[in-house]
Parts: sequence; C-alpha cells; structure tokens
Amino acid sequence: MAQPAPPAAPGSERTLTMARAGREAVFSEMRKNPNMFLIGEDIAKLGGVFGTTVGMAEEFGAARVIDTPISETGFIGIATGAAMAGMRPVVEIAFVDFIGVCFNQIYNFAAKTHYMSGGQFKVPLTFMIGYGGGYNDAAQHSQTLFATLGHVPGIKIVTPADAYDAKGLMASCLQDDNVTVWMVHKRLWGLGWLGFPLPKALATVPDHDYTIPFGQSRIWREGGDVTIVGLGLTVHNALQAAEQLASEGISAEVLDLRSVVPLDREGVFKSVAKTGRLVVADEDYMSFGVTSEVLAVVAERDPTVLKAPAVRVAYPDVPVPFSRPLEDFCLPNVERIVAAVKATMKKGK
Amino acid sequence: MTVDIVVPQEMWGESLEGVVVTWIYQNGATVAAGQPIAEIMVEKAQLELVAPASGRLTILAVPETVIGRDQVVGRIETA
Amino acid sequence: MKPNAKQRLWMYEAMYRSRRLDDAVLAAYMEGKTPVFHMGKGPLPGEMHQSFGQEPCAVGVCAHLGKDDAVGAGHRPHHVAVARGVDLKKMVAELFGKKTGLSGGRGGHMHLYSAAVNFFSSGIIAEGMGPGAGMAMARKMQGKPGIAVAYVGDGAANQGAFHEVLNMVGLWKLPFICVIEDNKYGVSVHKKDSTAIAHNADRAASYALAGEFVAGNDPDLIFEAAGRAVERARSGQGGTILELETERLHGHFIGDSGGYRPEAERKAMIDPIPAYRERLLGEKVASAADMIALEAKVQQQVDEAMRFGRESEYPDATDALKCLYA
Repeated sequence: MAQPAPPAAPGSERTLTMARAGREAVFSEMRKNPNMFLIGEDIAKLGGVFGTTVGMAEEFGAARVIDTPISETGFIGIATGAAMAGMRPVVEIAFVDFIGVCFNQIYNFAAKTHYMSGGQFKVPLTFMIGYGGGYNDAAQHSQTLFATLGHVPGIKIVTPADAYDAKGLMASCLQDDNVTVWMVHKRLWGLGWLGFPLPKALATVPDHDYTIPFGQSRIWREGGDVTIVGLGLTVHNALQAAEQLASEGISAEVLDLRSVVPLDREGVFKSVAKTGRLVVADEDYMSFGVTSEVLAVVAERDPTVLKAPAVRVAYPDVPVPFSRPLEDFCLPNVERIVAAVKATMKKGK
Repeated sequence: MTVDIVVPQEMWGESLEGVVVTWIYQNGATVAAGQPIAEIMVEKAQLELVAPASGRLTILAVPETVIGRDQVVGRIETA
Repeated sequence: MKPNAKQRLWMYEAMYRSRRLDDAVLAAYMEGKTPVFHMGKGPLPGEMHQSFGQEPCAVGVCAHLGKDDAVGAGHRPHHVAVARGVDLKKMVAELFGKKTGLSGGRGGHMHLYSAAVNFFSSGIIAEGMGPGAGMAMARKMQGKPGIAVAYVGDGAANQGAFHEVLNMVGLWKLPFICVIEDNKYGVSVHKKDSTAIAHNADRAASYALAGEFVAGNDPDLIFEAAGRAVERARSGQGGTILELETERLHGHFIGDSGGYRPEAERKAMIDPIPAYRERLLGEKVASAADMIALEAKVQQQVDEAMRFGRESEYPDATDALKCLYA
C-alpha cells in the first residue's frame, strides 16, 4: 500500500472500523501539514499495536513515522519540545495504563507549559491512546483512567464511540494547538483479535475531511423516562440496555459524552432536566471520576429536576481482576445498566 | 467480466485459515481497483484486502466467516 | 579554542549580572520572612533556588549560543536565564509575581519561559531533558540551524528521563548538549552517596555520545570544552554530556542552612567570580577602571529590574483562569 487509495467511486458508502476512520484523519492531516510527525512504539513497521498507523510509514517515511525505544518519558518530553519549536507531533501510547511511566512529562510539563509561559509557548501535541478491558488483560493493561487524565488542567480528551466520530474527533485533535488526547476503547477499534467489531462502532464515514467540536455530546437514542449517559464502550452497552428496556415499556435516552474535557455539562443537564432520571455508565473506577462529575453537573445546577436519586454504573474501586467471572462482575455491562435504570424508575415520584 | 476476490498468497504466511472481520463496502457497491474493501484477520494480524478490479461488488464471505486460502470471498463485475 | 578578550569580558559581565541579581533577590526574599521564616510571605514568596557559585557553567556555554539555539534550565535557572539574555526586567517581575512578568506571574521562579530567546526552565528534576532534545530534533527536522542545550544537576543524572533522552539523542544523532552542573549535592545527599560512578561524563559511552568533564569551575576552561561540544552538535556529529565541576555556595534553596555539609568543606569553596575578576585584571584583559565602570553599569541594570519588579502591578485575580489553552 505505497500509494494513497484512489477516491471512492460515486454512490458507494464506506463502512469503516474506528481504527481505519481514525487513520483517515491522520493521513489527511499528515499530507496537509509537513510539520506533523508520528512518534511512539511499534508504529512504523507494525502500524501500531491497535492499527493506529497502518500504512503510514510506507507513505511518509521513517523520518515522519518514528519508532522509539521503550522510553515514554523520553519521547514524550522530546515530542513536547518539538511541539514548542513549531512541529505538530502525534504520540502513540498503546495502553493508557502506561501513562504511569511518563505522567510527569504529560501533566506537569506538556499540559502546563502554555499556561506557565503565559501563552508564549504552544504545545500542539496529540496523543492516540487505547484503553479498556473485558478481554482478560488484567490490572495493568485494562484500565480506563479518564479521571486521571481529565483531572489535570491543560489537556483536552475525547473518546469516540463510532467510526464517524473517530475521524471527526481525531481531526479536531490534530488541528488543535493544545495537548489533546484521542482515546478509543480496545474493544471498539474493530480488530478481530479483540472480538468482532460491535455493529454500531462501525459507521458510514465520508471521504471528505470534517471535524467534530470538543465538548459536544451526542444523543444516540432519544427517550423520555431516563437519561443514560455513557462514553466509549458504555454507549454501546447503554444502547443494548435501552433496547431491552423499551420492550419493557421504559423509554431511555442514550447520551454519549464524546468529550471528557471539555465536558458537555449543558447537554447533560438538558437531557436530565427532560427525563428526570439519570444513570451514568463509565468503565473507569467509580470514585472521583466521570460519573462523579456528571452527578455534580445536575446537583449544582438544579437537583430538583431529578425524580429519583441518580445511579452510577462504574468500575468498582478495585484493580481490574484477571479471572473471567471476576472481571465480568466489575464491568459496567448491559445487565448492570438495565438494573440501574429499573432502580431509578422504582424510586421517587 | 467477473473477477474473483481472493486473499493474496503473501498475506497468508504459514496460515491455512483466516476470518473476515468487516467489509468496507456493501453488497452491490461500486468499487475502484486498488481501494481497500475489506479487513481480514490472519492469525493475529488484521490485513487489508484491496479490490483487484473496478466494478460492482458481490460479497460471498460475510463478516465472522472463517475462510481458507484460495477461497473466493467476493466477486467484482467489471463494466 | 580559548576565549578572546571580548568573550571573557562578556562572561565576566554576565556572571556579575547574575550574582548582583542573586544578591538583590536574596535581600528581597527575606523581607517579610523574619523573624519567622515562612515561605509564603513577603514580596518574593515561594521556593528560591539561587545560583551562587554556579555562574561559570552558564556563561561558558551560553557564550557560544545564538538566536537559532534553544536552552532549557532546571529548578535553579537564574544564572542560565541571565546568560541566555532573558529580559531582566520581565524576569524579575515574574519572580515578584507581577503582571509584567515573563508569564504574567503564572510561572514564577522555577518556570521561567522566554520564547524571545528560546529559553525555558522547569521544576521537576530532568524534566527539561526531553523538551530540550525535542527542540534540537525540531531544528533537524525543519532543516534549520541551531542546537539545543539542557542544563541539569548531578542528581538529575540518576533520573530516568536523563537516560531515556540521552539514548535517543545518541540513536538519532540530535544536535543536543546536556550540561551537568556538578555541584556534588542533590539537596543534602553527596554525589558519592547517590551515584555509582565518579563522573557522569563517563556515562556518555552508554549512549554513543561524547563526554567531557571539566574541573575547576573556571569560565575559560568551560568555554573551551563547551566550544568542542557546540562544534560537534553544529557539524552534525551529535550530542555531548558536558559535566562541569562547580560549587553550590549556598544551601539548596533559601532557608536551607546546608548544615549537612562538613564545615571544612564549606569553608574550602572558592567563589569563582572574584577569582575571575582577579585573573582578568592580572592578564590585563581590562583595566581596574573599566571593570568598575562595567560593574556600575550592571548594577544599574539590576537595580532597574528590581525596581520594575517591585513597582509593577499584580495581575487581576481572575487572570488565574486565563491562558490555559491556546
């Protein structure tokens, strides 16, 4: 695949995996912007552990698709300096769990340099990161960590749930002059070896370039009885739950946050004000995280919109266990979401 | 003219079986030669299947189907 | 190559400027902090890591650098900032936390940034290594001239970032110099109790870099060695670990008495600035009158900068929320 693919014949829709859609946005920006380059482990020859960079080394060459030693702190620091000096680096961290070895460079230097320099230095740096579990990869390779990254100021974080959003949000990240993080749940990439693609993660993706704004949530399914807020994989679980609930006469609205930072507080509140009930599903650890933040949105704007207490469906505050029954117990799966909705329907007015 | 779509020999390595992960185009779509049209998994590698010709696509092996070497997974009706 | 008279006088002037600034800052820092030492009080609050004794490290290297180059310093950045030519008034205003500071008061003493002269400093040990090397890499990728230098202490040579970055500098032949200011202390721990080998310059072979150790805290010798490292970088031959023996004349930060150091050791330290002054006079590089005139000029600059820092306004409180994103 040395040449870019020829344009699609008219009248042919393409259904892409999230990995492929994300790559399209990267290819497009890399072609437009000679200052952009990719850096990370296993991205040149392998094309990325999760297929984020397939075909890129062939097209752009080793000088722009750089395989690094296993030195996250080192190459993230290097990418930061390059960004400060006018380049636009795209950094691959295959597993979000690995931010532990390089977190200082991300949160203390890259994220803060624009602010600490009073705006003198921009850091146009994009991270491509895989997260999530459910395939028995245990405590150090299955985490989500939205809250860990989202908590520190200076970073924008998006987590698309389908291929259409994957391409648009990636383009937004690449065009933004700040530290941006594009995170995809491993089971949503569309890689056969992590389970066949979830049907709704595949999507029709236009050939042309487009962006999706940060901080804009998306309603996948409208409903009147309860708002289920999800992000990434939990959007898909919520949609399945909504199907099941519909057959039992409960109308659930499924809201995909899409953006962790900035968070669409307005969108969340509007939906909850309409339905009066809230369930929020997140694969990150429960405490001090996205679910807490979503509840805070309602509590501080107007808790009286709630007809019943909100329910959180999140990972319990334990490390991700290995054994299948243990891991399955912890995941924010369809059953738990259905149960949460029923609980909130039972209580209150 | 009908062109068979077969996963190229060099993509198989030592394997005898693969599986169709997803088709990028729908049954009946018009595709161009050289375009990626499907993703196939052989062992742990996800590979791209490219259209051998331009024309109308017929899908034979649907997603999650196990396929063998030399198996015709689809056809393209040219002109 | 030895420094010529002009370069030597430039080095003396920059060292003197840094020193007079450190003296003024020390006096101002202690305002409001006596009789009880409280870091958060007074016009110059926070931690303060001063550069007394380490000035030769800054001037000997920066004498070779120009506008195409980039410099990163660590948590003890003032002498490097001065030698690099960071605007003195804006720098002092930043120390005072004023609106007119380099970052409008958002950075402070350890986080001094000046895009005008491609300078930055950072507060986490060895954190500036990667960004410094990245600036070198950007220049190489862009086909532009210029090299990058990152200053670290001897303690930083044991931090992971040091090794990771230098390996990549060697692997990719980046035009980068790591300057180690070896003052033999990581806060209270002597280098012999923290580092498995005697000279960090010897680690250079591990990364396919050149390594050079310069004894004596001598601006002229540092200038010569730095000249070699700079030439290597500019000519595409790659990076260098330049390890400079120096002296931390005061404690780790203001407020650290340095009581963990043996008295004899402290007494034996030599202040490099008066020593250099004597040498320049002795070798007739300048006359006594010229020296005094130079020093008076520098003193005036420092006084002006301190006045500017004190008299400038604080930022509006809500400015705290601005400047997060570009």
